[in-house]
Amino acid sequence: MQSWLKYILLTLVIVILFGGGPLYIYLYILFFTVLLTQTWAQLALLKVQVKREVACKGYFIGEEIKVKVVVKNTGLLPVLWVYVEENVPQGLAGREQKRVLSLPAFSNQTYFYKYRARQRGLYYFNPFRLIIGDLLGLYHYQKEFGDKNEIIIYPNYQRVIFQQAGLWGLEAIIKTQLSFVPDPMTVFGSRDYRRGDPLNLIDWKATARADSLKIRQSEYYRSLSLAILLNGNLLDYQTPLELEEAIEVAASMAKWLLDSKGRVGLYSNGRDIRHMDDRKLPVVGVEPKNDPEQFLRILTSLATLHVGHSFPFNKLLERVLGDLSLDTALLIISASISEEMWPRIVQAKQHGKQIWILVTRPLKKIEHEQLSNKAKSTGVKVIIKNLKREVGDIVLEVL
Amino acid sequence: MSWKFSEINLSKLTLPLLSAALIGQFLLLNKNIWWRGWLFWLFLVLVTFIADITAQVRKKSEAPLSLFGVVFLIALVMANVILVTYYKLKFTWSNLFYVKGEHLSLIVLILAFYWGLSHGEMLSSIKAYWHPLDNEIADLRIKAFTPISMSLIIKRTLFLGFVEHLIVWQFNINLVTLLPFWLLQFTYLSLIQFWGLAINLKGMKIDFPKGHRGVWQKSLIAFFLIVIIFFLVYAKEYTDDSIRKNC
Repeated sequence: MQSWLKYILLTLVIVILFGGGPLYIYLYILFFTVLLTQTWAQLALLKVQVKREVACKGYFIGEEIKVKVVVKNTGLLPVLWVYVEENVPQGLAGREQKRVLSLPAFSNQTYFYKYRARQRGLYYFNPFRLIIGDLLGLYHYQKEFGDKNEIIIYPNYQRVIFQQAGLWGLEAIIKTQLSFVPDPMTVFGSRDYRRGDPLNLIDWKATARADSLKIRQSEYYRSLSLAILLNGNLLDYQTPLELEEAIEVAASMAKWLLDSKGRVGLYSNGRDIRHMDDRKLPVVGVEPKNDPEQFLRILTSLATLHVGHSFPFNKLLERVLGDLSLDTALLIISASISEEMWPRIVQAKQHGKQIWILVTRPLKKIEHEQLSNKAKSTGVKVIIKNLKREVGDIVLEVL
Repeated sequence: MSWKFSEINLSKLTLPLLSAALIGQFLLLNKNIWWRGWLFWLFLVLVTFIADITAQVRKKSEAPLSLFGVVFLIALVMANVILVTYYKLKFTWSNLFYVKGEHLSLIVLILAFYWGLSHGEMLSSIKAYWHPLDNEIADLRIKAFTPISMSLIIKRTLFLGFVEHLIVWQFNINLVTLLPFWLLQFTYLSLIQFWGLAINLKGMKIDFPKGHRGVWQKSLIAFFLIVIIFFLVYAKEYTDDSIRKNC
C-alpha cells in the first residue's frame, strides 16, 4: 500500500513540475484505480460472512465431527477471491482448512470437512481468518470472523467386566448390592441357586418341591441410588493420564449402573473448565437420577473436568455426605485412598452409608494385601481395576 | 473446477504477449520518429515476445547468457533483411548487420529486445513460475500474493504509461491514443494477479475457486467501462479547452 502511495506522490511531483494535461490523466487514472480497488476490497471484505454449522455439540473420542461452512457475500460488489483459513481446534484432529472462493454479488458457497475428536474436554472452534484481494492485486485486507462454536468431547466409556465373571454369584452380589434392592412383593418365579446368591433370597418352598436350592426371582425396583465420588485432584495421581483413566472408569461405571436401572449421580472435587474461578465444593456435581438424559449429564460433567490441582478428596466426602439422602450409596473412585480418607470412610460407614471403593491404580502385592486387610477390618467393599485390559473392556476385581 | 496446468501454461504465453503489446503500443505512439512500416512494427513486437520466451526458457534450462547474443544476432539480421527489402537495397554482408542511416531502427530493435528480455527474466525469477507444486509457501502471507518481481513488473509497465502520457503531452497527440494503454495495462495487471493467485494456490494445494473466471471477467469489463467513459469525457473536455485556448 505504501509503495503505491509513494509512486503516486512521485508522479504527482513530476506532473506538477511538467504541468502537462495528459500527465494529469495518468495521475487521475492511477489515483482513482488505487482508490477504487482499495475501496472495493475493503467493502467486499465487510460484506463477507462466514457461518459454521456443526451437526451436534457432544462427541466421543475418535468420532467424526462433520462441519459445514457457508461463506456468504451479502454485498453488491463481487468478491474476486476470498481466502478462508481455519486452524484445527485444540482437542480435535484433522487438517488445517484453507479455501479460496469466488463470490459474485449476493451469492454464497458451501463446503464441508471433517475433524476427529481426539481428547476429552471442552473446546472451541477458532475464528476464520479471511483475506481478500482486488482485481489488480494492489491491495489485500484481512479480518477474523466467525463464532467460537463450543464442542464437548466426552470421555470414553467401556464395558465393565468383573474378573470372576464366570462365577455368576459374585457379579450378582455386586449387582444386587450396588444398584438394586429386590422387591419381595413382586416375586415372579424362582431359579437355581448360584454360588454367591444371598441366602435370604432362598425360596424354601420351591427348594422343598424341587429338592434343590432355589432362589426367589423378584422384579427389581429402583430404591437404591448411588453417587459416584471421583477424585479429581491431580495431586493424588502420578500422571494426568492416570486421572484420565479414573475419569474413564467413572464414565464406565455410571453407564453400567444406569443400564442396570439404578439412580446414579456424580460428584468430584475437580474443577469445571467453564467455571475455573468457582471455589465451591463439590465443583462438579450431578445429583442421582435415572432419567434417559442422566448419562449425558454425567458425561458432560466428566468432559468438562479440568486436569489440575484442586481440593483434597476428603473434603469432598465431608461435603457430599451432608447433601445426600441416607439411602444413597457411595462409590469412591480414586487412584489410591489416603490415610486421612480412611477415618472419614469408616465414620460414614458407621452412620449407615453403604460405601464402595474403586481403586484405579495398579497395586503392588504389599499394597494389595494392605488394602485387602483394611477392607476386611472396616467392612468397606473394595474393587480394584485389574491391569489385564482388553479392548473396550474394564476388568474389575473385588477384594 | 480446479486450476489446470494448461491454464498456467496459457498464462505463461499470454503475459509475454500482453507485455509485447504494451511496448508495441508505445512504439506506435512514437511512429513519427522511427516508422519503417507495419511489417517492421510487427517484427518488433514479435522480437519482444521471442526475447521474453527465450529469457524464460534460458532461466528454466539454465542455459548460458550467450543464448541472448545468438537470438539478438538473428533478430538483427532479420530486421535488416526487412529494412533492405523496404528500401529495395542490395543484399550485402554489411547490409545484413547494419543498414546505413538506420540507427533509430537499431535503437528501437534494442529497446524491443531488452523489454522482452527483462520481462522474461523478472517473470522467471518468481520461483513458482515453472514449478507451482514446489512453491514452498508454508503459510499464506499477504506478501506471497505479490512477490517483489511481480511488483517490479507492474511498476515498470506503469512507468511506460507515464512516458507515453508525457510524449502525448509533449507532441500534442490525440488523447484517445492513450486509451489502448490503459485497457492493455488493466488486462495485464488483472492477468498477473490472477496468475499470481493461481500459482500460490497451486503451491498450497488448494483448488482454484469455482466460477472464478466469470467474476474476474465481469469485474475487468466494469473497469474497462469506467476507463472508457473517463477517457471519452476527459478527452472531449481537454480538446474543448485546447480549442478555447487556441481561439
